Amino acid sequence: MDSNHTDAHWRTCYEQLAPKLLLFARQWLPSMADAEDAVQNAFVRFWRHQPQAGAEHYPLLYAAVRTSALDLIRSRDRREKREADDRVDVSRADTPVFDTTIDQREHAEAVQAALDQLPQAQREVVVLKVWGELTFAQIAQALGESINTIASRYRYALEAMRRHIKPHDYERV
Amino acid sequence: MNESEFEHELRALRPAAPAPSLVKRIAAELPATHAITVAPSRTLDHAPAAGVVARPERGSTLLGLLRGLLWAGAGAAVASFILLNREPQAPVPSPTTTAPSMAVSGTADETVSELIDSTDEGLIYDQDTPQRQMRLTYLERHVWTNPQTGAVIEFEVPREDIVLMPVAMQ
Repeated sequence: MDSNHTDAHWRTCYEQLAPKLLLFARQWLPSMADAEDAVQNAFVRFWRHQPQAGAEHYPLLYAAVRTSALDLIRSRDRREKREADDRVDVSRADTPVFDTTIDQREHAEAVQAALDQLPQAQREVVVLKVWGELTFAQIAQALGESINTIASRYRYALEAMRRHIKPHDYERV
Repeated sequence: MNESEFEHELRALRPAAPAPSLVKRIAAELPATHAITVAPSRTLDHAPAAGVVARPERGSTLLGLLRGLLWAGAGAAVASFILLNREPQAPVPSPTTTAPSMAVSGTADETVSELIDSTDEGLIYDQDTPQRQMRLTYLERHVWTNPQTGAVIEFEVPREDIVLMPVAMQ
């Protein structure tokens, strides 16, 4: 394969997926810098092994980001234990997770808060389905779970988020 | 509000874009990969034209196969020769080294017989005499050295003996 062709391949993939992958990585790594590191590691590893990857392989890219993020957390934890350093919690607030207009800012913060209160297993499904725009089958492939499990998690997560964001809808019922 | 409207509200939010430096960092790491991918075509003496797949030379494969067959044949011949001329040996309970028992036109021979397994297969009766049947598995390792050329031929042969040991009944 021509290297320019491959170059165009990964750049197209990057333009399509980079913000989505970054949002996915930030579910484990709130710091923007850490999340970017995870995306970079995963992206490079993925394209090294799959230089001719097509859109059908993209769910594996999310799986690679997940692995990379978890690796980063483990290595950071080890380093922090070794250095007996105070853990610096980088707040999401300093680098917003969503690109928003002024009108959307309040809603975006509520959505992020609702996401934060979800269990990890549900949160990753919501992010992949809503913002990653993957199908349940693709999410199941990326996370190594059954489609039914993924669909259930999504349903529970969406319900929990709606209760968190729109409590008054439920007060009226 | 039903679920699809809620999903629509969520989708209206766009994930934040990464810093512009991220794509540069990835680009800096990926070209090394591409070099590995295209390297084989660069090492050819005659660069193939576009669309032509360079085939591996058939001769080298045949030569390798022929060489392998020759070695296998030589090994089999030596093994057959030793097995045909081998004297029956008593069971050896532990690894031993025997003195060279054969000399074939200027080659030295060393044989190590190593007991690797023994199985007690119980008592059997031979003409009303109880005997214990033991199955002994050996690995015979033969090393031949040609003092003139220094060539060393080494091969291993598995051997299995069934031994009947008299049992004294009290």
